[in-house]
Amino acid sequence: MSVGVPAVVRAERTKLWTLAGARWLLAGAVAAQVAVGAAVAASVEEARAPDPVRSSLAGVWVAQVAVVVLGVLAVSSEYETPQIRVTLAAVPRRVAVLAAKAATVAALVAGAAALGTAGSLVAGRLVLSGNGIGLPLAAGSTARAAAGTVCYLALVALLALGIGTLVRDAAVAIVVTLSVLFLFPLLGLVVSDPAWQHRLHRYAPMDAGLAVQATRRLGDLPVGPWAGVGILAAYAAACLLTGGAVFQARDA
Amino acid sequence: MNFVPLLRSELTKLLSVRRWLVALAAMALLTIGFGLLSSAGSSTDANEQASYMVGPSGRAVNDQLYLVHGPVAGDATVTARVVRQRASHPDAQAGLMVRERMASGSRYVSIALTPGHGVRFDSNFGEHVRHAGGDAPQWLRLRRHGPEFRGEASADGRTWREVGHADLPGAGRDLQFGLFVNSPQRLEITRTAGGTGVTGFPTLGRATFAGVRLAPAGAGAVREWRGQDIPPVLPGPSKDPRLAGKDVEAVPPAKRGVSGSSAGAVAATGGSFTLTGSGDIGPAEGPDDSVQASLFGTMFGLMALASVAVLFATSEYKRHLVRTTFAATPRRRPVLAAKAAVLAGTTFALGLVTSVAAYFASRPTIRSSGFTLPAYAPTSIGQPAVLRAIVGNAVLLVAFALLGLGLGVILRRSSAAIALVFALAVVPLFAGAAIPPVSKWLMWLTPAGGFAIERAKPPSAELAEPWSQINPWLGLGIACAYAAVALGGAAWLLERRDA
Repeated sequence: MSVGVPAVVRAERTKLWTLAGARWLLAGAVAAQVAVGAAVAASVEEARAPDPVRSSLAGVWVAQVAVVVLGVLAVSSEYETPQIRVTLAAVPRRVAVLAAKAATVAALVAGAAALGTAGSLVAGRLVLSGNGIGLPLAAGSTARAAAGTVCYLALVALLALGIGTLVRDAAVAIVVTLSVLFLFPLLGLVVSDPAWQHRLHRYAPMDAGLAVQATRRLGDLPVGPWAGVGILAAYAAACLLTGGAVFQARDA
Repeated sequence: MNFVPLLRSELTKLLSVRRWLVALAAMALLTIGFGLLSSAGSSTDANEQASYMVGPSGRAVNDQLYLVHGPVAGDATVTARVVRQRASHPDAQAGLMVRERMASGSRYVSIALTPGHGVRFDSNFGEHVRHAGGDAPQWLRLRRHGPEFRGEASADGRTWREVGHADLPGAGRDLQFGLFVNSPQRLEITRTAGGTGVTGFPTLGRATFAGVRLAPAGAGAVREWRGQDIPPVLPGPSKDPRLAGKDVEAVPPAKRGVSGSSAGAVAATGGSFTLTGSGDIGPAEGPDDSVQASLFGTMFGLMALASVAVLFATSEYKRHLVRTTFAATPRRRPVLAAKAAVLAGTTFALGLVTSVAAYFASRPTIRSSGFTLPAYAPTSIGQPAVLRAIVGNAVLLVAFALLGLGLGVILRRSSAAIALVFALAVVPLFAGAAIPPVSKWLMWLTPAGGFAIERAKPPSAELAEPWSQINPWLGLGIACAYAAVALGGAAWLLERRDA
């Protein structure tokens, strides 16, 4: 007996949606994105205004923590119970299982991220107009930053899913994913050699992936906006493929 | 029930999980390894831009002032009243100085009034800095007795209080006594995402002295004193070694007038002298901290430690071991206390060994990265500030471990607890670096500020690292407070809810 693709995706969606805490994590990601973005936008002063769009979208730094947890739990939760055996008995094609998980996680996170990003921009516009700074919602660069932010969060979820598949243990996977995201940019702060700094900002997944949020001084970015998203996508793809290969090869 | 068996059972639990031991070893290796990496990457070229003076101890110093001086033989006392001082900079100085030679970097003793920090006594570029309250008009007095010098201040010229004293061992008979004025550059620091820009604007100090007297009578005549800039030409802002290697923007030409060779001047009218002068006296070492660079790997090691700390709590719930634990020890708080004690002890011991190892392992790299004399003084583990950084780093690890344990008990889910530790410990660092206006507040409000304890140098706003802005003890205190609140919350919940 073979199970059709729509059924596999439906099964994954049901599992993820009924996962304890999944809805809380998604709601938390949206709330954090909007609230932190508004707080950062409120701190922008006119005299030395940094990028207003990027400031309004800064909530993504906190939101991605929730997204990482969700991405990891999507696969690791199956290993906490014998659920994974049931899943694989029903759908023996493991690649299909992982692909369905990836599609579901990416779609759910992208939906939440779209909500959070739209909310952040509206909140940022309200807060910034109080300080006399405009935020052009209709501008092409704003649209690019918004679309890029949604892509960023979806890719972070896939990165987490890949690492989660690889290591299976929620705690380890969360620590590894968050470290990969956050600690390399921090290393860039302490390293004072300009060549190394540039390399770190260019190839660290978070710095590269968030370059897409910039709407000003694009020439100063270590990497082009969409090229940066491409670098993050390459990390996510590498983790998913490695995770998939290991998933295929090992015992459940 | 006795506490000792509880401790023993918790220690057994901690040590019997092989993955946790691996994670603890990983903590040590990550801390040392990334410390080495950040030391290798933190190169400085300050020594190659050697346009600064070298002080008596071989360290780079600033020695910039305008001095009205004359030679004085043997023991003498110089007295003057600073009538008024322009508030050109909080650390601008107007006062008395005795120096060995007129050349830059010479030994000296000084006492001066500052607009922002009262009366300041100093010798040899920060060797004996003492501060006392006071503002203009203020009487100042500097007395020599052999190699010993005393700086005194008085509000009325009658009752004197000592501000500080210092020795110049082996000082010759003839020394230069004089009045001096200077005023440091005003640094404008702009924090941008991932970096800082430092721009220096020279300021011009100006002060009027009256009642200048030299005693005893044979010591010389004040009216024969001559004015002189030290050094003869003040270095421009881009040559300031404090700014070496930073993003230094050019000082606008319009503001450059005061840094020219004719910065200082003296005008004598009816027994009073008005001096103008520019510059700074003191150590010229940059704020970059090589001790911090050695300990930077802690941030990476912390992640391994936090997962062990959280799992030490949550694994009890996952495997229902907690029911056995509480069946054996129905009073739950002592169990938590034993867990906390075992985790804190293990973390402190391992953290201390790791910090010491990271410090020593990165020394050769630090030296080859350019942190050498004269621009950077060598550090040693015996210096109080270095010890504070190393021991403080171990305490910081304990604070984060206990925070993880507390959150693990409160949340009972390892994924949520680990994500929360991460959100509290690391996300603020990143957000602080990326969003300049909130960086200081984030350090004051989150345990991430605890990383300030890894610095052996005073807080500085010139660096990109957000934690370098706040006081090290304050930062560590905040991290400990978070740990205490988490443990307190855990203890409270533990008694109230079902296991």
